[in-house]
Amino acid sequence: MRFFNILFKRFMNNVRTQWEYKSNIIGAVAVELIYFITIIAFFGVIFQLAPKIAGWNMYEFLLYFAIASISNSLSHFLGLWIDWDIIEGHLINHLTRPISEFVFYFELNVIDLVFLFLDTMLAIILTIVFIPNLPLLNVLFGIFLFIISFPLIEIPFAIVRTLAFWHGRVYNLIEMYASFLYNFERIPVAVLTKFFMVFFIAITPAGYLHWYIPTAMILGKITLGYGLLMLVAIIGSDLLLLGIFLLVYKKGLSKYEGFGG
Amino acid sequence: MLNVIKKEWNVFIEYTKLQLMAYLEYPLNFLVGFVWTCVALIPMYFFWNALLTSGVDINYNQTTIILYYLFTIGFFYSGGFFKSLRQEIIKGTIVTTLVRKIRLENYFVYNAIATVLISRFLIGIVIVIAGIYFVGLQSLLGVLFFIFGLIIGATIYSILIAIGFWTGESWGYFYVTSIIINLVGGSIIPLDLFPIFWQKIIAYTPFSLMFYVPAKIYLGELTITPWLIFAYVAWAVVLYLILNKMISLGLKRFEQLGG
Repeated sequence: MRFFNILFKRFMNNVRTQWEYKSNIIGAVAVELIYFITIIAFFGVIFQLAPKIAGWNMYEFLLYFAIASISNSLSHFLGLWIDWDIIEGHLINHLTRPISEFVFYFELNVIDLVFLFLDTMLAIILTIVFIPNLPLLNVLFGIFLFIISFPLIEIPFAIVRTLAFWHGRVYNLIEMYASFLYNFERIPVAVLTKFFMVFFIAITPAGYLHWYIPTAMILGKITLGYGLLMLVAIIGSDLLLLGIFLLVYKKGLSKYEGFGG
Repeated sequence: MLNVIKKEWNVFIEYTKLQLMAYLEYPLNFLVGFVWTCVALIPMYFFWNALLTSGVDINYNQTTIILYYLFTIGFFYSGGFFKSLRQEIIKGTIVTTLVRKIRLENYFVYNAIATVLISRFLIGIVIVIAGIYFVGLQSLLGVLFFIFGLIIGATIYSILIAIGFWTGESWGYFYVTSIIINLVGGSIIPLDLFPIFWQKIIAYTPFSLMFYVPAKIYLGELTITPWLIFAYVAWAVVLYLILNKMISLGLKRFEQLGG
């Protein structure tokens, strides 16, 4: 309970700080809306040429993009920024306090919540106005799959950040992983051949299990039976990645000297 | 005149060397740019492959579309590339440049060009080899025109940096401009696939000269005319004059502690 109390206080502190710089929030809204316009323009031009690509129409592509964007905003908001504390040597201060050091890894930036709100609004508008009559059960199960698979996107980032215990600055590694993942933010893996799909899932299961499967379930492109099978795969992957993260983190912590990695 | 050009060239080379030294401190940066481009091509290739195999009739085939994106994604640069330059005004450290014998507008433009050239060097080699192999030696002209476009792009971003004299923190319009350039510069989608109305409007902006026009020259699909060269020169001069005016106005209200 104390853990969450401190998290809440840190979040409120961030809200107060950002409120002092209101232009940042206005800027965030403007940036996100213009980004949406470019994405809609991109798909608008493409889908003038063909009504469907790999069996998906424009609005389905846009919903996939909206869901991936929600995931990214959530990932930024709830991200564990471990490497920063390791490099700067702040971790030693956190370790001396009578509470888990994890409470300090969360940045909880309110601007990410602004992005999250806009992404969610895009998804809602798409599903209500442009893709109506979706089966309620599929939508609810898709949302459930999306929530339960969230660790799949965040934990690999946390693992890469934990490598700062050994390598110091890991910004480039994070960039490489992010670039691989975010290139699929606009384009569902449905367009890939089987070989590349397996390759993609092996590198990062998040693009498939966290973005593609929930969207395909909401749109009714996969059966409930396949969705249940994927649920098992998601839970298994969550536990496996969590285990790897805890192992790497404990190893790293055991060699931490308080002056950086 | 020749002496001035020679002097400016030497200054540019010095800044390029400094940028290179800073870049080499983290050699992984070269790899990141390279990996980013290669990885970005995977979904793009399959996406366009799915579109082209559905029988759509456009000016591109699988080879030319992947070459187009190799060029435009590989050479793409955004406002994020110039973060350190932008922060020099915000933090006030620009004062160290002001005491040197160099024009501030040139300092911004030279550094911006050097940053892009160095960061895109590795993927640039791949672009050149692929161009020569698939298109021929004339594809090298595309790379040359990319550098001309880079002068325009560097000046546009320098103007955005200079706005920092008035606004202080300026990440918002930097990102907005990057996103707009990404779209109307032809990096997200080739401009000849846009509706004619939008193609005509975009043709009057300098953005298409940054990525789209060089990419079409690279593919051997665009003839270089005197008008095209005039467009590059005219935009570079106009933008530089705007930058010059903004710097002189901005410096009048600069207080060392930030704009």
